[in-house]
Amino acid sequence: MRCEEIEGLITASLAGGLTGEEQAVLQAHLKGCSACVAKLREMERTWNALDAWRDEEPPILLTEAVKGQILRELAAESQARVFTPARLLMGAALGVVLSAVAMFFLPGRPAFSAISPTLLLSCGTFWAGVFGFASLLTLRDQAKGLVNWRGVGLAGLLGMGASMALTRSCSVLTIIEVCRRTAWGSTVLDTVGLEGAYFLLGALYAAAPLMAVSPFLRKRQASRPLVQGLASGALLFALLMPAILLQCEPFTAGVVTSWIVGTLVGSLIGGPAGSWAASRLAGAYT
Amino acid sequence: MSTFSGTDEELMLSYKAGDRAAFEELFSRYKSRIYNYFLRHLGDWATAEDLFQKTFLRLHKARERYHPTAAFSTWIYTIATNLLRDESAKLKVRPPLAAIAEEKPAELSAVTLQAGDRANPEEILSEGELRKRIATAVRALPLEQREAFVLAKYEGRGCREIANIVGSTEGAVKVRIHRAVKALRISLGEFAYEM
Repeated sequence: MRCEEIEGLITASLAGGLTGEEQAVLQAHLKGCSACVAKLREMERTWNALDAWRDEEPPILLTEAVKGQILRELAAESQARVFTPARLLMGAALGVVLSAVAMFFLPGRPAFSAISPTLLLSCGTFWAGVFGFASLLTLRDQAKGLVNWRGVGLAGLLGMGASMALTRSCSVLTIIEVCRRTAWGSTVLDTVGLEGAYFLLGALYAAAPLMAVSPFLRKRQASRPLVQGLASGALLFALLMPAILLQCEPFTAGVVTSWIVGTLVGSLIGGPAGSWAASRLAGAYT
Repeated sequence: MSTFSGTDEELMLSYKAGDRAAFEELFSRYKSRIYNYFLRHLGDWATAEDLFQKTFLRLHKARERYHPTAAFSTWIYTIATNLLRDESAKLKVRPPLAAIAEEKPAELSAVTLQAGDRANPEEILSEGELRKRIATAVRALPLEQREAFVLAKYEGRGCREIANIVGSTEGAVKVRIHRAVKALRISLGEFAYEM
């Protein structure tokens, strides 16, 4: 190879742009050409001297302004994706449908004629709102963050379905009746009292469904299972409240209160426990 | 403090999906690189800052079109280079020194050698003065040579990646880098050897 051609390889070698073959050609030429070796040294000196032109730090005001602008746009886009008109309409429609289904299939509910219109309307409206909200959560795009809101929505809806299925197969009232008729059951009832029994059963009927649906939510976990679990538990509690209120007519205030508190405690324990289990299943727990 | 350890491409895909933390990490990795890329070319802080902002805003608007078949660095530098070319077209900068170095390298070399390679042999340059001379010499290069040279020397890009960024071939990029270094060697002369 001629020296004129080697000059190009010399510069390319300084820029790290030589293939193995080109490197071999250059080395072979340099072994026998002192002029090109001198040229290499000259180019190397120039190349290294150019390091004197060091980087400057970009102004903090500039970087913060640009970063802030883009982060605000991301936040706005995220909000827009959640609350599109189509999704709001779909969420509202699902809320109404699901609350109607829950109302009709609720075990232990007295006949509609026996429920006060105010209670019926309040529970129905509240239920439609919470079901609608849960549906909206499941419809949103999911960006990575502390909480997977789609997972929260799904946990609430699936947990409510599981709780209703559990109640239909073995309602709280049935368990109380069984306890009253059996010796061990009577002992338990005497120990904890009726209010205590409703507290424990309320907790069980909230926690167990959330734990049971966790395998289906292993791909819907974010970086904070505890926070996500609490959110899921709170959502399920909001969904179960109208169900309790529609069934509480025959009970004393103490029993109803215990039932509600038990459901709340069970939701807030079952939620994080279910999320933790789901994270473990997904292998995403850190 | 960053908790991300993913590749640029993984972060870009997360950012594309709306992940704010992924964007923050990418921004943190590239803010200094892009800023200095413009500053080296332009030497004008105001314009460099303007193009810096435009680069990231353009990246943000175009993120839906990103595919991991291309390296993220190639993508962002392509955006930056296109902005730089638009700006250069507006400024219509054509440095005379580089034109002489490119067209008549032999004559300039002869002049430099005859003068003993330095106008004032006693002159001692501070590091700041040497930086200024380097900056002036680099900015005097033709745009094509300057792009390839800055990307290779200061941004650490390989010749193949530079070819993708500037829309040329690897061979042409190597030639441009070679011509740039040759021109700089003449421009800087003995000053460079005092370092």
